[in-house]
Amino acid sequence: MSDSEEEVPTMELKLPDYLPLKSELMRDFEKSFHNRTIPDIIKVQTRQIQEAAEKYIQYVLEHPQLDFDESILSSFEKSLENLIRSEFEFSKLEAIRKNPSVSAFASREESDLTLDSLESYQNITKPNFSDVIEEQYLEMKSPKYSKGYKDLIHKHKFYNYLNDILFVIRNPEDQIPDENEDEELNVSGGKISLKDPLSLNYYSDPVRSKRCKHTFERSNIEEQLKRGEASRERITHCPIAACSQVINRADLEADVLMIIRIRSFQRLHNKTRDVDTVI
Amino acid sequence: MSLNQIRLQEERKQWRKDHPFGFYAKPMKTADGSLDLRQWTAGIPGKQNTLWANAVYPITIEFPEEYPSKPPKVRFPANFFHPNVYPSGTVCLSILNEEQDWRPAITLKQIVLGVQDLLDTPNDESPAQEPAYRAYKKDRALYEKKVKEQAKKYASA
Ligand SMILES: [Zn+2]
Repeated sequence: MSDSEEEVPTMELKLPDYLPLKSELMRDFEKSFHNRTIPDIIKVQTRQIQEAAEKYIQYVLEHPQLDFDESILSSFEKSLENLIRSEFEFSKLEAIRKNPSVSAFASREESDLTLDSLESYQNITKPNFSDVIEEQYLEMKSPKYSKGYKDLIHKHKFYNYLNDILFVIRNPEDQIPDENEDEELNVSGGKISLKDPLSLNYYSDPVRSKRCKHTFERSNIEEQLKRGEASRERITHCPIAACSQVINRADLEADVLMIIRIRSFQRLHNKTRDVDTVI
Repeated sequence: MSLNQIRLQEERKQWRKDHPFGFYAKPMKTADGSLDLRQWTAGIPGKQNTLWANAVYPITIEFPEEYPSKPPKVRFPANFFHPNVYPSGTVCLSILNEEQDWRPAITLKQIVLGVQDLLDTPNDESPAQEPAYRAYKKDRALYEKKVKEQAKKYASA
């Protein structure tokens, strides 16, 4: 008859609840968790996207006949968002690696599981390596950790800059909502004036003072600066009545968002600056 | 076009589009019938529930060539009765003083509202004429009588 007829001796072979981590797996774990190339890659890619976006913005700014393409800017924004998300996920891995209950495994000297050592593991009741890792991951789903991602996004200057640009393209006359402020307090529908407070004309070359964030048409504020320099005090007060700052030539910088507002406003209203100002 | 001209054109445009209730302001006409944007006439209504109510006080506003770097000069008629108005009619108000609170971004609307505020809230610190200042400080009944008489003179229709 066939072999199967032959009785196989029953063997009480039961795997223990606790299994030691195989030493070569431990090595892999250590290696991949110590992989510093991932954050470097994220950094390089972030920089590349930022440079490409800056180039695009600069190019459109230098060519007034062009319009900003929302889909291009959105895709830059989306890519940055993905990278920030990866950076965040990686930081979670790092946190897990550094967690004492995880790193305890790395330093432990345990013999691999063999038939000989099997018995000695039978009565050990403690969480397996995979259980500890899983537990850590579950912990990281808590709101405490997702706040970490939001913080990372808020901190990212260029991401927020792209965000602001997209907002003013769509809403050239509206104030950029401040995400840190209570939304309830922010519904006043604050409008931004697109006109230079000195001439009351639409801006064409707006500059902003870094000190007080007030914006003026370049040629008009320069006239004020010349007067200020020639005055007895030798200073130029900010022309805005409620502002106590002074204006310095060195503090003036192109107000890129205002330039984009003006261009988007003109496109939306299909009218040019000249139509409105030439009398 | 100079900043002065551009700004005054825009001030006029904005005023025509929207201005505070009860006020008027318009550039004067020159001999040849064209508008002189540097010389305006305007009317300041007295606030309700004050001694100055139910009247519109005429002023002239003269914008210097250096406007908006320098403030305009605002004048009531000569001998206008108010502690902060010089006998010539010139208004003494800090926002109209280049050495004090004038800023180039202050608009015509803000100026006329500032003058309206001044009517009923004279500034103790800058007396500009003897009769109104003395009456205001020493003889409030006389002050009120004089202000009311003046309000009748400029009563709004
Ligand atoms: Zn300012």
